[in-house]
Amino acid sequence: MWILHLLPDSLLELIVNAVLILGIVLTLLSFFVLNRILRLIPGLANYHTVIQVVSVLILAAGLYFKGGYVTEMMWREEVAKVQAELDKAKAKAAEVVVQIEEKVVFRDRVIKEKGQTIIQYVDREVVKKEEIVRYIENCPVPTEIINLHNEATILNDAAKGKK
Amino acid sequence: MKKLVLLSCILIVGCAKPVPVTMDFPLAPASLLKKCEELKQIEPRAGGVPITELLKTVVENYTLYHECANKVEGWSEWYESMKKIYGEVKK
Repeated sequence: MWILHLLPDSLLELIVNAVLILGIVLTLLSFFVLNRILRLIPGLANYHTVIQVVSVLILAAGLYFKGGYVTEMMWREEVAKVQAELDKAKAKAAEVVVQIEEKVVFRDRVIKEKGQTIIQYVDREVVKKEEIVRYIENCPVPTEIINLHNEATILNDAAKGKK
Repeated sequence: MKKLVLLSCILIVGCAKPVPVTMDFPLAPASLLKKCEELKQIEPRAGGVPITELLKTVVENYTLYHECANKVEGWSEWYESMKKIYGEVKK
């Protein structure tokens, strides 16, 4: 039925209905009318069965096409419905993405600002306190402690297989 | 008989139906696509490092951690939202 996609709906419907109607008409004629007429004509009487078979074949083809057409239309309708729902979901998702982006950027800015405020406070106020100045002068943090701190910052390297 | 088999195959082709519904993978917010920064280290010195420098580096690293945690929360929220939105689409 994939080939049905290539034809316009109206043309497709016309062809399908034409074949079906032709099949019905020919079948009715061949079974109820033509047999009586052909019997009267000596040379054509033998063709009666052939005409009946051809009529039934056209009717079968018409029914098959009609079934295919109805199914095709049903599928197209279903696909259009799902596509519309997907488009709606896509638009909604885009809105949500913007909202999340704004929220993440805002929180990032607040986190950075708070961090900077603390560092500025250390530089501006903490280093001026006499007790702390004395501590800084007399108790520098040993290199071993610094190295351990630095090692802790790259703990994830072990998980990545770097170390 | 061979012709009948061939005819059946041709008729069965009628059932092979491509589904023309397309769905793109939902986009994620750009800020979530950035990697988390590496934590800051302290340059060791011969005479030791002032405690305030250690404190400042720790604060910077806490800041980086919270930024990264913010990203993870963003991913989680994005996933839940997309799951809900696309889950509502008729299957």
